[in-house]
Amino acid sequence: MVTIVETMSYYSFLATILAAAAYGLQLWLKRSWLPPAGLALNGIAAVLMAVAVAKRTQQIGRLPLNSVYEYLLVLSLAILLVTIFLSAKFRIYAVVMVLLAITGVLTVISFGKTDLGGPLLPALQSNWRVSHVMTAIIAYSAFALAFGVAIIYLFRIPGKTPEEIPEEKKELATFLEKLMFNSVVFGFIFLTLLIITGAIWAEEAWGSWWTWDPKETWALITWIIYSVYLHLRLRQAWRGKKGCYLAIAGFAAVLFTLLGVSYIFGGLHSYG
Amino acid sequence: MKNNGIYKFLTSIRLAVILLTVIAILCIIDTVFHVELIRSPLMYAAGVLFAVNLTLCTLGRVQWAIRRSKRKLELSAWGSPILHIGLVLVLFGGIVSYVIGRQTYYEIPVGESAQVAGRSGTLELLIRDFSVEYYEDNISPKQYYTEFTLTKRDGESADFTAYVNGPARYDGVTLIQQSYGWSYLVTLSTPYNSRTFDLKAEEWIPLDEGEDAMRLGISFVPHYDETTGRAVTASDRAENPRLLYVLTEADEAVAMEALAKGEEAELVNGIRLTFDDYRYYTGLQAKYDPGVKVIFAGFLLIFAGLVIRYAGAMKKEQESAGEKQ
Repeated sequence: MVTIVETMSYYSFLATILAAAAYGLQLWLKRSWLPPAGLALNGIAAVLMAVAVAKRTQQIGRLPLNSVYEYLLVLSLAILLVTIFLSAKFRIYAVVMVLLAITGVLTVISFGKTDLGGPLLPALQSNWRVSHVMTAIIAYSAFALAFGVAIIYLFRIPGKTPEEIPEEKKELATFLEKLMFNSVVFGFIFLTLLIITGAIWAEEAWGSWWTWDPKETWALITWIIYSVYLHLRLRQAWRGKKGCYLAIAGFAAVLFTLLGVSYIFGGLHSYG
Repeated sequence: MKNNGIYKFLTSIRLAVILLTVIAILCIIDTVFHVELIRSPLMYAAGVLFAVNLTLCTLGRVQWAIRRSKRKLELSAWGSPILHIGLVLVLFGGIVSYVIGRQTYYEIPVGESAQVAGRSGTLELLIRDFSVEYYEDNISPKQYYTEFTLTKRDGESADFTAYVNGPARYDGVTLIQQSYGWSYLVTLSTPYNSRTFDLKAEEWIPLDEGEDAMRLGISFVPHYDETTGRAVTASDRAENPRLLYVLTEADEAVAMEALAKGEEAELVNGIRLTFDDYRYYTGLQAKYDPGVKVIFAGFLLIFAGLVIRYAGAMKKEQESAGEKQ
């Protein structure tokens, strides 16, 4: 039986695709009515996903931050909110399109992961649960934004190094590079907090703050990639396309931590 | 020494990036291809070099921040040193844990005790009770509770309850609720003697020797389903507790039965089996590890350092000239 949560997330997915199409047409046709239409559809997608999350919360009697299914719903909602902000404030529709595509893919993956949301296992009954998972949502949303910006930077900005960028593209390049850096820094602070809250919680629940569980190991790999980005960016040469490749590699590690590890390796973080 | 090429390389960001990349690649290969690299000599070597690099870099950053603060007191200049001091503390705490930390896992039946190493010496750990709390469906476990008493050598004692996510702490020891199960007592008696067994899992006991030896297989089923008669429990609760036994000869079953508590069965050659009792056992992890506090202090500094380092940078988007060096 299809639940209202699934129905809402399905309609949210459709609105997400339509919003991406509106922004895509704007990049091509440049019509004044397309950006507001895209923003409206983007808003509808966010509202529908918010309803799905709210209904899920009502059904299970707690914030839906337990299984991968619930996590995908909340992460999709968070990225949709980021797209609304980007679209309204910066009007960088190409980046918004990439983020909407990510949201669409995450929502489609969630369709196949539906679960009934059983009672909370004793190991998950901790005050650290909400803060641990929320920090992950915030960090991953920020890294998704950095990924989107990196993709657009690679497509839009010619020249391998910052010195080779043509004068007319320099302003856009600087803006995109700063946005990517700020997103990575914001995400990195929350990723660090994610690892710290997880370590403190693990010490309470399992008696060991670090066990080299696959999820922990991949969180560390992700942390190292972004840490390398932040160190290398101190050099001017890494402020262009080279930095973009690291932001892309970092988000690939994020997705693998979120989905690959959960479904391939199992381990202590396997809760559905 | 600071002009020495090796020293410069050891303190360089280049080396930090190389080592971090090596560590990340080893982690990837370990998890994806299931090759044991995380605990390999290569990883330890990379870890030791990284610790040296990090410590030297941290000293350099602290010196730089002090020099800068002498000219003008600037909080943001201390972000990176604080962050790196935090990382050094985490590594140091890890070494403290490795050298003096102790972890022991105990499975103790209710009513029995074990010896646990505390800060002041050996403690007696007496398990007073164990219970499982269930959700409304009466099937899904909500929480596991162990009630116990810890007694020091001088007689001072205290009562505790440990549950999942709620460890108990006393005399430097942390006791963590990790597991539970059923423990059962059976007696095997012959006309000449008897022996009592305290068991947890399924057990096979040889009754004689040779190729066609008779063997006794016993297991405890807390919720025995009379209708199916299978040696599978319907739930974890002791709703219909039975001791199941099977007697085999040359690996062929010759007798099997389900005994209630207190019941006795005549097996063969005057050997009798009695199901004496059953009770929960609890699985507790006892941990004495002063390194954890150092590690958590390191976490605090890492987070504080990150916020101080980047809060301004996100606005100004400027990297300090000192760090470039």
